[in-house]
Amino acid sequence: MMYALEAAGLRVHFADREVLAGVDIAVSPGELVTLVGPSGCGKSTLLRAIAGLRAVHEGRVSLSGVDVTNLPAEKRRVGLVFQDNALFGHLRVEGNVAFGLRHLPKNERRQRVAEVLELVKLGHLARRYPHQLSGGEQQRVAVARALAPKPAVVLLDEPFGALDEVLREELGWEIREILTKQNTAAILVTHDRHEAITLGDRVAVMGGGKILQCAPPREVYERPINRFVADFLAVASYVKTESGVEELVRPHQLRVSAGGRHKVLRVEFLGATSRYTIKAADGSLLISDVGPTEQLAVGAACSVEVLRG
Amino acid sequence: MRRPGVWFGWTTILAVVAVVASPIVVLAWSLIDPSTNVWAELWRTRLPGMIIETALLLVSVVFGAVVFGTGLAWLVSAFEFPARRVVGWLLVTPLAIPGYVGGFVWLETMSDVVGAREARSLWLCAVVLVLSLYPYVYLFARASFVDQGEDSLAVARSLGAGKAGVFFRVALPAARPAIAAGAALVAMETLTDIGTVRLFNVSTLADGVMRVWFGTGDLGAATELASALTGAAVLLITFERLLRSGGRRSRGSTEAAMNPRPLTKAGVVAAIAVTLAMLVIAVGIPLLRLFFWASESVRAGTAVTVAGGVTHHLGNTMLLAGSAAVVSIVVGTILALTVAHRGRVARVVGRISTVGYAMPGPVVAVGAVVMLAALDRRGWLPDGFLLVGSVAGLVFALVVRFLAVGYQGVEASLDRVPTTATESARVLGAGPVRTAVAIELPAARFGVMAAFALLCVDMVKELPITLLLRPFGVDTLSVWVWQATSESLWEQAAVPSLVMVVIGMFAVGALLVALERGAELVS
Repeated sequence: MMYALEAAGLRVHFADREVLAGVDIAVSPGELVTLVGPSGCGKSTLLRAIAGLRAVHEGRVSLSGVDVTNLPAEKRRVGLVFQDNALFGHLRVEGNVAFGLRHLPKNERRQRVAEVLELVKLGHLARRYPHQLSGGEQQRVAVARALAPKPAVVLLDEPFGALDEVLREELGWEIREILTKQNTAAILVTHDRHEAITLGDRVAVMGGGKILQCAPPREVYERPINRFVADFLAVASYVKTESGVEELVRPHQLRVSAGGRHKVLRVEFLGATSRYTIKAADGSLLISDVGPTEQLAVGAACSVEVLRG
Repeated sequence: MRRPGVWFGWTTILAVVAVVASPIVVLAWSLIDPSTNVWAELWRTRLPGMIIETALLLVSVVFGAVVFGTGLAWLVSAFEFPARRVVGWLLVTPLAIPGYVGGFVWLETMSDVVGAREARSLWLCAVVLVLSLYPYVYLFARASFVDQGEDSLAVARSLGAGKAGVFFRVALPAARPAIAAGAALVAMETLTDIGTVRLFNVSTLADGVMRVWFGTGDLGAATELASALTGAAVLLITFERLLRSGGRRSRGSTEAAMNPRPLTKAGVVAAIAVTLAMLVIAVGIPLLRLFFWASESVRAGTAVTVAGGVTHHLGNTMLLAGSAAVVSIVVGTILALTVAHRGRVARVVGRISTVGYAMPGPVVAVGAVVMLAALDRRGWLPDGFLLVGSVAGLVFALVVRFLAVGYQGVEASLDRVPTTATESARVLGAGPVRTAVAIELPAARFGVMAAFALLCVDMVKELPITLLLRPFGVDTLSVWVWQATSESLWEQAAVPSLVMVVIGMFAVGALLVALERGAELVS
């Protein structure tokens, strides 16, 4: 099968700092890859390099099997969505969506605009100006505008960063569905780890200008390739096994019981569960979401048990 | 909520607005009874020609200033080439050269090429005005381009827009309101100009007001013409407001400013050639010729007038332009601070104080004379002291004309002070005065600086009001240039011109520093 996007060995440096140190990533049609990593790790640079907005010093970018490494941004046909939506304020919603459709005859263009606006459920707002829309609506227009020319891949740079939590979750799922329906590949940069593992078909974790791991959410969550990835993606504890190897344990895999050599340091009420932060006898910190029915008090003695399966 | 100082605030606003708008109101009042025979005479003879020449000049100057101002602004904000930053600053310096100074330099220079008769044309006059006024459009357009941010341009490119597409389909339409604001300033300056048009024998409405006044001393007729001029100004402002409407967007909080793109080798050469040519024509040649003439003049001992030497004129310019600029910035700042956060009504009322800026200089002069003469007739002042023809009267008229520059400049920067900052100050126990002095003023300090610099540029080169209202024997640098050039004594005009340009350069420098530190030009 042909990848919608394939980038190999991308290197970019500013002065003597390597921002991309050889990045490989491939995304299939209809697949959504979420991209996470600490700030300054090169996420945005990677998107800009794929879009052709940033020259790469080494490496290749192919879209639907065509090498576009030497093509300027305007010839690549990549969809872009930014956190600040970057809508063209002087154009109406329909004008924004039609911007990338100049190659189409007028009636086909109008038809495609209507089609894409229907997709993001904004058909009734076509005649409005961007500043007359809510934040969520603006972001939908930005997505519609990016999708209109049927790009091989859509790159979303923290598209929900400026929205409130309820809206972000809702919009996230909606956009995921739209992308799947259109069979469009996408890379979504986010700083929300929860969003990364719930929305992505695969999660890519970046650090130091490289993609450290790119795999389905469950795999990255349960079998991170190193401690950096493990800690970055979610809360983790490390428990020494009998053989002396440190084993990764997620909070739902650790049960706390009253009485023992450890001590409860903090209790956070999370709603359905309570999260215990425990100071182990050897001084390490353990985090558990599985406690006894009767809550333990801070300072109480306790013991832990790793749950398998 | 009862705001402390409500009465004090409103009293300040209304007092400033009443005083500043009064000459215009007086003028409007006198129009209720037009002298129809003067009007009919004007209409039968000179008026149609004046209207046509004014319109031709206006359209060509605004067109030229928009093309050059916008084009150069795009060049230095969108593309990377050596010395881009320095060139970006230098392109503002023509602002320091008054149109009538560049005018006589080019008139003389072109006379050598095409002959003296042909050189005195509307078209050369338009070129000269474009050279001295394009920086207004340039400054506004550049600020707008940079503020559009990197992301929307990136999106445009990803949607298939090339270099030209990004400019014509995104950057230019988005900058339209800013360009319109700059173009409106250019139009106002052109409409009001008397020094440059007189050099080239272009008879505009403003020139007509001056000629009628000097030629016949008929204030009534001058007022009639002034009203026609005012009509033109009002039309322009309406037009500008229309151009400014529509959707707009400025850079988001997480979005980077526009990032200049690299050019090809040929592109770099072209960019440097274009900007260099503009600088040589607008600044280099005028400065060189002025230096040459000035040294000749000094050697020949003609760098002096009946009124006195350079120090006499410089002293008067400093006194008149300086005090008018200081009064304008102080009153403008107080007004802006009082109006800020007081709601829409206060803002609209405050705007009335800027009416003088929309009025051509000769009109303001006529209004001020009519009003001051009326006050003098009341005999409220001590015996022998008259407002008409006094320094105070002249400074008053200058403030009426230019208060808007101070007020709107400060207001634009105050608008960027977050409400949360002033609210925090209030909650922490600071009254409105302390909040203004301790929080708002420091935050807007570069806005104040930019406004003051622009005021200095405007006041130093101002001609019509100074000419009409100056006290007997008090001649400024601009008056000296006017008198020398109206007798085609270019060499004698060189010394005062050069001094004015030097003052102007300092002011432009201060303006650039203020803008670099984040001053805003328009709200």
